[in-house]
Amino acid sequence: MKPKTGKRIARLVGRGQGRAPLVFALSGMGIGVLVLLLAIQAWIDLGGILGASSSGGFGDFLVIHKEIPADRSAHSSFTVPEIRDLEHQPFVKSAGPITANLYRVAAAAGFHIRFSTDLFFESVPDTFLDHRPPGWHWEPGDVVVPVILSSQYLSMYNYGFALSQGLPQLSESAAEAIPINITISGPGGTSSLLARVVGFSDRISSILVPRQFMDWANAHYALAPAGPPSGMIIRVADPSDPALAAYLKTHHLQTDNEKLHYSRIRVILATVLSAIGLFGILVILLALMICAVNLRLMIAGNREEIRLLTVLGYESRTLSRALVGGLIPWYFGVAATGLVITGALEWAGWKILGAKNLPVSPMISIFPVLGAIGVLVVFSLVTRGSVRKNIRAVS
Amino acid sequence: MLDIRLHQLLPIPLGDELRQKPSDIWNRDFSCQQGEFVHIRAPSGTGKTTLIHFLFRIRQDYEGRILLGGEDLRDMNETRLARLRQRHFSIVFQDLRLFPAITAKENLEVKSILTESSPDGRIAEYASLLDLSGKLEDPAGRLSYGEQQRIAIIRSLLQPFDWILLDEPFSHLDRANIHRASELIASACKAQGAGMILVDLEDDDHFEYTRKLRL
Repeated sequence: MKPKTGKRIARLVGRGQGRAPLVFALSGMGIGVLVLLLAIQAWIDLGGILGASSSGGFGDFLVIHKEIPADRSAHSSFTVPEIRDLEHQPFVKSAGPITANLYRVAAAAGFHIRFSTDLFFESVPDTFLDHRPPGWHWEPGDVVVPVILSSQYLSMYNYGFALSQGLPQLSESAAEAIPINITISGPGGTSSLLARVVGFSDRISSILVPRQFMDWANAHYALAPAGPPSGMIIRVADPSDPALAAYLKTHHLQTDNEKLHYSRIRVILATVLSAIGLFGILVILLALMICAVNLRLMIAGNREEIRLLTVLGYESRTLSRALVGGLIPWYFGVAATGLVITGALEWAGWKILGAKNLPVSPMISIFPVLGAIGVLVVFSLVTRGSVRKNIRAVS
Repeated sequence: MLDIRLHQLLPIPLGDELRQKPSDIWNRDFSCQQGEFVHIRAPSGTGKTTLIHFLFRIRQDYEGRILLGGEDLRDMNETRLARLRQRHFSIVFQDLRLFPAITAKENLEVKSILTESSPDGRIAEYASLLDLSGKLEDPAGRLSYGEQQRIAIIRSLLQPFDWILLDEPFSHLDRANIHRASELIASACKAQGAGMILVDLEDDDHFEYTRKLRL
């Protein structure tokens, strides 16, 4: 259909309608689109801010241990039935054991740092690490043992230990550069190895070594098969799930409560943003309804013209395309304006929050763009379908 | 070739009345070949416009069947029907059915831009032939009935067709305009090998009819 045809048809059947209903519907669409796009972008920004603070885990990973009773009457390790029970809970997406060393570990730093201490190691399945750093690999015969250190431990060293002992404070990169001499001893003998920090974890408060090293060292120096896990790391869909809290309480398990609080804040914010997004969708639906009713009235008011056009050989498809075709540029303009305003607010947010050291992107993400396209497509299809249906009804 | 066949066609509202009356069309088997010029004469109230509306599928309240090229008219979907009205069947309504608020020229363009089959200048040429050149920019609703009738005739010729249905097409025209309009319609029909069904109150010799029937 040529543009000339569309304009002529729209002129024939679009008479008698003021601009007010259209302006009203488009304003509603604009408000709804803006609210929806801002909610989507805010959700993404929130993920970025919280993700940066919780090492991308959103607090979904929890390390759990058994509570130690006051009389030390119970074992703190997990039995096989307890692990199976935990794995089968609906709120647990996956679970992995935390294996502790059964041999002694002594460490001493070289160079100018005169520092020695007894240590412990733990290992977890690699899938539960924040990320797998380069060099995170060990096999029998390797002299250097890669280590992932808790970020908290480095802070404790820098601010709690180094100052009082006259030792230098270390950045993460400096800590990674220091070779650490470790001595492993047990019934199986004694060995000297080198350890090197290859990464830091916000998720797990421990000193982690590769699983292969842990199994090898336990077998060779402790002369004991790997014991039951001392703790478990679990991935949960919703850390604020009341069922999770109830399970932990019933089974006398403990976890990092800070993470649970943090996650609850995130869930609350997500709920608020979802509600705002839902409100945006409702406003869009209302605008869509106003638009459809307006078109319906227009078609009903011009039913004789539509009947005659049909008799002359026009299809309802052609007529609806002609009528809705004039609206598409308006829809496009409203969606584009919503995107531009969202982009401007995002840029302002980047300026303001960036100054407060909160990481926000200066550009909007792809998702608000997809949201705007989605609204545009839905508006176009629904109005076209509605117009076609109403044209068929009168012709 | 798009032949027309009617099988026992009878309008439901007039069924009992028409069943009793002799007719060449109603309640009979009737057929005509594309290219025929058929004149159907009928007094008022015997269903002239009803027949035209049945053939153009504006109304479907009839008994019997209408077959166009072997295809039952009732079975055509919306797209097929639109195609029929764009390419195969043209019509001049008794009540003309123009858009009164737009100009005569725009009324004609509504048809010509739909079928895109008329060369540029065709509207001006036909308007000149029917003495309407000075009226094209006037709103159709402000033209006299005779002028509107000529606009409706021109509109019917701005598309390809195998049949043209004419419902009292010259009722408000003088002899000179009837002559000019009938020559224009006949030449358009002959150029396309099209047939014609004209219904009117009285007998006439405006065309070289191949058959004259009574409704």
